[in-house]
Amino acid sequence: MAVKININPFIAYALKRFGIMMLTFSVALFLIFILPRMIPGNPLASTIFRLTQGGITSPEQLKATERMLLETFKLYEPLHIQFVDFISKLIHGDLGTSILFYPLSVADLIALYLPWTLLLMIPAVSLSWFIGNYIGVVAAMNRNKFVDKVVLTIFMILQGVPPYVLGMYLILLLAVYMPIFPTGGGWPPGMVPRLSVEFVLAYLKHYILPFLSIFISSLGGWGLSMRSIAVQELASDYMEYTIRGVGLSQKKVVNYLFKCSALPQIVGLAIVLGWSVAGSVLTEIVFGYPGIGMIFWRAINAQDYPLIQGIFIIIIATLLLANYISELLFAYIDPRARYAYVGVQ
Amino acid sequence: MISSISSTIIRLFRIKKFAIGLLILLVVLFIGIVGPAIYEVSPTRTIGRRYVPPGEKYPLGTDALGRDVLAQFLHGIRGSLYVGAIASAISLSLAIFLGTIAAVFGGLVDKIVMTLSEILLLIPSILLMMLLAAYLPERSLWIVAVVIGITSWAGWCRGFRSRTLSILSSEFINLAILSGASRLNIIIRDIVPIIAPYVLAAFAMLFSYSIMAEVGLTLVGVGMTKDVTLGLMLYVAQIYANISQGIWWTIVPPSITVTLIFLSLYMIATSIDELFSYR
Amino acid sequence: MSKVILEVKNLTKVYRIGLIRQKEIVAVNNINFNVKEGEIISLVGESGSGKTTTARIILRLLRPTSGNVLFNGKDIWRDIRNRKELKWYWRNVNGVFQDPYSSFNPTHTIRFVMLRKFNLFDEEMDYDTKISMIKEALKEVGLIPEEILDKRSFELSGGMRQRVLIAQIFLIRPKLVIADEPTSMIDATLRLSLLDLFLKLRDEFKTSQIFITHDLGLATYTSDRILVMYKGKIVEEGTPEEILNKPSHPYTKKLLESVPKLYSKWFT
Repeated sequence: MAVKININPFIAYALKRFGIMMLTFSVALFLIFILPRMIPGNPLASTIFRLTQGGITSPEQLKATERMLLETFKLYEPLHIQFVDFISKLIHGDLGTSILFYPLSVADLIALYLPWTLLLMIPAVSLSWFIGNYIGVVAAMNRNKFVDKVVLTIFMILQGVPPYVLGMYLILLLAVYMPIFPTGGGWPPGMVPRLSVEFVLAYLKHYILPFLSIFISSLGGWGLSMRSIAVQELASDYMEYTIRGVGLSQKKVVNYLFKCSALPQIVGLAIVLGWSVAGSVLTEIVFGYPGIGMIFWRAINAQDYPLIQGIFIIIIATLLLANYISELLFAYIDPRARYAYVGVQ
Repeated sequence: MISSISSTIIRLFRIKKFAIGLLILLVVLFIGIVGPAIYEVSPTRTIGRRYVPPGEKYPLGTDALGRDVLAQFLHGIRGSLYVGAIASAISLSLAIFLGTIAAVFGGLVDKIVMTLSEILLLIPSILLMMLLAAYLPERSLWIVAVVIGITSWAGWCRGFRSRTLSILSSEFINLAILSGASRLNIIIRDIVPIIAPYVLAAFAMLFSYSIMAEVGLTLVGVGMTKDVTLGLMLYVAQIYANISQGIWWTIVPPSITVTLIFLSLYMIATSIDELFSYR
Repeated sequence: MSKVILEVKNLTKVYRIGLIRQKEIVAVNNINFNVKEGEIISLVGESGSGKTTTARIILRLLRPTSGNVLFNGKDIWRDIRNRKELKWYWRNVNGVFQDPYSSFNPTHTIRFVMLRKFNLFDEEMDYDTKISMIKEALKEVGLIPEEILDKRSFELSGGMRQRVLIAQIFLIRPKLVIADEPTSMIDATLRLSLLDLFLKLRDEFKTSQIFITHDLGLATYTSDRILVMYKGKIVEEGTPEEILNKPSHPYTKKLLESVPKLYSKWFT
């Protein structure tokens, strides 16, 4: 106890949360490890069997795949040796080799596709954060008026429409009935990604619909939570004073309120950005957008276990890290969080 | 007692949001329960050419395999409702049971439950579901529902824990004892009225969440493989690229229904929550 | 000398906490005292001194580890067994708690809360009689029955809630009331008027009272006798004058230093 007093509560909190994060990561890794090996019928063995039945044409490739799968999962070893092997490979950044995209390694595949996902998600989520929150504040300022009710209804409906469903409608409307945009893909077939005006323009044309579907469908959540935060903020005495007493213009109040209420929302943004890899899977599938979600889908349908496993690890790691950062951010902004936590000890 | 319950129900119906939500839900439930019995066409048999547009012969057309879309839609609603009911029943029971024992026993039990739920909350349940489902070779309605159920209790478990804790630490339980109220009377008149709206709201939210989760899982390719659900309809439409061919009739009915189910339950849950959050 | 109605003999309560590394906390350590008819005594001590635990044991909400509580010569744990006897006990010994906020179930109306107390009554009464008795009790504590009967607790102020709690005592007119910090969450300006309600209770119905507080000054205002509790033991006992003028235990002296001068001047 005597030692503890000297530790800065923020650091104590950070360490504690780090511990929880690592524990969670270990549990996740363990699940990723144990599930394919535990499920009756051993899906791995059956995959190898399925491969020998066909699907892969050339005999050398089949041999290589089989060897590689055995090498990756080491099913002939006892379980605990398999686990040690699994962890030590992971530490060295070795996620194995994909079956579907043989002979590419899982790590290379992720490095190849992840940037496209981030390029889609980060701008879409950030812009929707900004605009959703802004509309939320405006709605709060006009609480119970017509504007507020309209915004509230639209946002509530938006919350119930998942991005992939919205994406389907956008394709039907803006790509099929009014063929303004392409129906899917990342760029025209035959084109190779490179930094040329021609490619960038073509890419943007494919980019707009998936961008819109993520942007629009996440507006609702941000708007609603911001509205309720801002309504509370407005009810506080100091806001009353600022509005009535100082006599600021409507626009200035909105700006001020936005800044005051945005803090907790920043934490949410960090979490959602961490989510972006997981969250984009379905949207990418619907649009055939060449990101990590797309190859995840193909991996699942081809039962490409090394790739499935690798993507899971990447998604969970980014999520946990984003969550950790947001927790620290929150504790930094709001000291009560960390004191409360350390206090419970 | 009866008058106070009926007055509460009347107050609930005065909230427009609740009434609309309930109406939508009842219509969907009715279609899902009665629909397949009235419209006796098999949802899984090929009955005609593929992609026949909606018309007199097939009210909602046929899909990529020449199956009747209306039959699929009706059975799909029923299947999705099944998944929602089973999954939410499982996760709700887990949440109530674990949350309550954590609060009542405290100590080590509490620590274990809290750490477990924290880990589950950090690993998003949709990923856990994918992980579980990806390795299961054949997935029926029950398996998918159980997978959804056992991965989505954590948040509500914490909710029930803190509700129970606050009730247990309240003096009104002691005062009820001092009023000579029996144990049963205290459970019925003190604890249930406080917990019940929360259970109801939790059930509504978990129900809609489970239906959405099934659609998401199936669309990714780790969900339903056997039974017809709304998710499976969308999955089939997706793998046969119906959207880009403009075949709207396989997409619009299931997607709108999923959204309607979610919205109706969301409206019901939030209005229950608003009415019963005593301040 | 009036007769003793409550005797507390060698009362001890030990809490065991922790599942693996068990720790014992002695909350109440072998205490003895008694309460006479119409007498108001105060248990004074800081939080953790065991005073609230003592109150709960006397109210029969908590089982003691050892020792006895005798009411009218009956041991409340050994001699009270069935519901009828329990009701009889709570009809005669009842309490008011510290927190008027958590003392009400938010789903209950005041009417329900008050009607519930009739559980303790032996005699059969019709609804109108009960309601008129309830109205009478509410008036006694300075509330307007028509205004509050159908309200729920969250529609009332803290002071009003505490009055409703005291009204329940006026309704059942027990022989002994245990009031656990009944005024600590109330505005200082309202405190005295609430304390006067307790004095009224004694004057009108000869109700004995055990007043539990951390505020020695408050204790001197109402009590006939003060018991000072410290770490589970009664360290000092006496009339308010004795305690104020010649405190013997160092803890009492410390408590006295924190009493506002206003009170102590009356006695010196």
